[in-house]
Amino acid sequence: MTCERTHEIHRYHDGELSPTERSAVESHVTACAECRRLLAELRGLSLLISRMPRTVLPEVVLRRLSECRHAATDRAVLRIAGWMTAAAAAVLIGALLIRQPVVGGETNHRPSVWETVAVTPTPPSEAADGPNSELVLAQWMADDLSWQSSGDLR
Amino acid sequence: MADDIELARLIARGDAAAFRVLVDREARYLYGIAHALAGNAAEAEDLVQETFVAVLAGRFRGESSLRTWLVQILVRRAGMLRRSAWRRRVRTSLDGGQTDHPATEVATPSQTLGTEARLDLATMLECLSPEHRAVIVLREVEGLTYEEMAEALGVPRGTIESRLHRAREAMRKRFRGYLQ
Ligand SMILES: [Zn+2]
Repeated sequence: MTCERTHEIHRYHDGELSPTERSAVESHVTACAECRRLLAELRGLSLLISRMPRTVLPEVVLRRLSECRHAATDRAVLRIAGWMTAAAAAVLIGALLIRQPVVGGETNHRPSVWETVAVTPTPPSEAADGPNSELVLAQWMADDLSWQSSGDLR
Repeated sequence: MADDIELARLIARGDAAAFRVLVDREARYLYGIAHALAGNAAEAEDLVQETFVAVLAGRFRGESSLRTWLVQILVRRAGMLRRSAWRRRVRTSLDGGQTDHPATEVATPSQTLGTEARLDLATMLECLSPEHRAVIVLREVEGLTYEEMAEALGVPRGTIESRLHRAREAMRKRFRGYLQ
């Protein structure tokens, strides 16, 4: 790559230039073989990608997602549990197991501190301050799950 | 935007109908991005589910549209999942793991002994780092503008441009035979 206008070729291809800038690029391309080739390849790449079959969301997955309110939070819990020490995870999974299934899907679901923690995208290595903080988090989550569970039974 | 905030508020309060409205409205769009980023259906479903969980947890504050915010979470989650796998395969450079696979050119269909070796998007994206994969999907598959990508990924527009250009450079080298 030697031509210094290649970035403009990308912007041109992406429709990110003003009409004046577009004309300038168009006249440059007629004179510069390198940019002409780049533009042709960018078009080829976009065409290739656009012809690939689009992923369609299967109906069954859509249904699962619609019903995922509780499943999703449980999974987040299990994922967190996977990062924890065995002791902390046991507290947490125990709480999940005793939780009653929700009837009708309508509950007084209250977003809780641990849910916010659970979905905060922090890698486990950075999230863990040590086994004790995990145990505290697990106890927290377990307490909250019991609260939800009693709420469901009301 | 006000509607988005209200919808997110209802969902965070546990309104199942509001949650279904959101899923009906955004699941297809998010799944398309997730599938392209993850390369498989199971991981795509997990990613979309985890993205919706963030709304349940009441984290939406209305700084952008709900869709932009959802894409932001989805792309970050996908990047985190990919990055650990990525690090195992590629020695990261100082710029934070943006190095793509060495450009080994992929054989074109005509070169592969008469088989109908169809290239798919997942295969094409395999050669890219998570950051580069995200910009290619958002631009080439979803058609977002530079500005929209900058907002969705939470990085400056200049960063979007340099990632996009470098990602395309890697793909052009690798798939040259397909581009004529
Ligand atoms: Zn040029």
